[in-house]
Amino acid sequence: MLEALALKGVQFAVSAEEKTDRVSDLVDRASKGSGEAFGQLYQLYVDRIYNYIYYKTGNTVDAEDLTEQVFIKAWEAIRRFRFEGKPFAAWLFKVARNVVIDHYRTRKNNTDLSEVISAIAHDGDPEAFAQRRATAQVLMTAIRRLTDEQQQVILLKFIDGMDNTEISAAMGKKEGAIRALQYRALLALQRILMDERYGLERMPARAT
Amino acid sequence: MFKPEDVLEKVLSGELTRQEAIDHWPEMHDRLMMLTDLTDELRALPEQRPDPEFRNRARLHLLQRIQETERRRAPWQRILDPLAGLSGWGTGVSALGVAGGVLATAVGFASVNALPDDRLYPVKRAVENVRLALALSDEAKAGVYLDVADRRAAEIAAVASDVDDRQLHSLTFDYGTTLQQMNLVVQKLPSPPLPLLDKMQSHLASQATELEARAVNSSSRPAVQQSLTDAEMVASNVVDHVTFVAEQRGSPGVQDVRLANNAPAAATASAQTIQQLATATPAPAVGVSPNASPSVAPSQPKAAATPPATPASVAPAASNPPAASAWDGQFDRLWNDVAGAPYMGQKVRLQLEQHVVDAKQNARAGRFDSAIADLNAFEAQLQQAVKTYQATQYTASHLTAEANGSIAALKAGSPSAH
Repeated sequence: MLEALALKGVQFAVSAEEKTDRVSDLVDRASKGSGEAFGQLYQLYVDRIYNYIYYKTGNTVDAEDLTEQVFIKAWEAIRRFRFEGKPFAAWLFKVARNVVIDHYRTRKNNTDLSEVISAIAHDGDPEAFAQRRATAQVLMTAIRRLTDEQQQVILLKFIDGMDNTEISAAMGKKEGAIRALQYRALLALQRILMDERYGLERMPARAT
Repeated sequence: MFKPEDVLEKVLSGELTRQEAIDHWPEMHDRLMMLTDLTDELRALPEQRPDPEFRNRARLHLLQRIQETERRRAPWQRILDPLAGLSGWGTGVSALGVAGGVLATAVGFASVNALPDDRLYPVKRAVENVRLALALSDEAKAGVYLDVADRRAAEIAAVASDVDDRQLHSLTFDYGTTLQQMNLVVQKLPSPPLPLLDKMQSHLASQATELEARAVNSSSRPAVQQSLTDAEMVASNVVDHVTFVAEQRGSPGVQDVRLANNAPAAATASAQTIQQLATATPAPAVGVSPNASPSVAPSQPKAAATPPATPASVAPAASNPPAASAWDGQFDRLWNDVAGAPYMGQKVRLQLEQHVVDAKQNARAGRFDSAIADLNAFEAQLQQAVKTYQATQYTASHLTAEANGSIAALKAGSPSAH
């Protein structure tokens, strides 16, 4: 059945340029109602969306549930998608962000960081391992204390690896504004970390 | 004048190294050190990857949702879909007009053998949709779906080497969707007639065999091979579902019954032929397979696709052919039963056949322990096949019992009488 098709996702090794062409072709067909094309888009983006949502929610159950919702919402909305020079990923992450916001409108942010910690590779050096664990835990907690916009720019840039052009499309802001937001977000994050690591607030995060 | 965020961006984008930036703007030394350390830490955070099982489950849910959306669209829209790409058609023409016109004219008739790159192909697809819309009972619908699946499989096989990957994916997707819809319709039937299940089983097995043969021949194009293998898997899985439906009805499945009735006779006949030929060639009779279909003869592509199983290549080295031994009949029987077993994935079938061939050769050479090991591997493979839905429990227990009989005989040192 379809399940077998689903189990064997179609993977291609393609260059970035070919990939862009292929994505716009898939988006074009999907927006005309091709479920097959949308299925391929799912294969291409599900890992990125999941990773992003995971860092927003901090637990597998929510990340899975919301990732599924993102793609269902995207399928329902894709007929209205127009390229207009904007990357598809930016649109998709916008959908993802809205799904997460909707989710937290009805629920308290309850994060369990134990899973992130378990995803950190153990390379046999106990000290380094403990260090990485501690760093990741502190960082994740700190990211969640940022404002939503600051979180968004940090996650898209450093967790997903988008460039500023894509982030600007995803957040509907000019690139200059993204650079400023990124700078402020990093300062705020740094301040929270200082606070958490040393229990005192050094170096007030004031943009110079 | 500079903005600190622009300086940071130059470092983050790799335009400047951290040291170069500090050399330019020494007043930003502390801040740059601190923030780039922080971004390094952020970039080192582990990537969270979804569980593969979730990934597939979610994709399946998504595909189901997509199909529901498609089902909600007006029937006439769906019927006319295939004509959308045909200039001069579709627009401004009423659905009934087109449907009636298509049915009434020879165009529809002439389109039956159209391939995806033919001009009449959209007409062929539209006619299929009309047939589906006109099939009132679920049983009739199942029949039309099976026919459509036959056509898609034949088209895939015919054009796989010529069309681009996109077109091929689209065809295999349609093939999978058709089979899924057929399956849904069959499951709705309170008591699906056995002849229908029988027909479905044999057609699907033929489709899987045909697709597999093409996949093996497409090794130079991995994406095509993958598509064909996917399609073959879909067919094999649906065969399994059909078996399940048959088993639920208290019948082990039409094919199993027929095999049980006929196999011994067929196997004996085949074993006799082998004895008469007095060569070392096992020459297993694939004809036992009940999967014959008018359009695709399963034995043909299968032999072409599977060099290890062809008589020539499984024959012991020609330079030193051991005499046909008293053991041969035993293993030929088992080989025939594997070859004819219904509801089995083609790859599994080939692997099982290979184990039997190995066991036969070992038994001939008097290496009974090795032969027993081959048969144990055979049984382990069968169990694995059941777990991965590549063989039914019924077939597996039947073949395991037979292999156990051979193991006992090998241990006792004399072939079991049959």
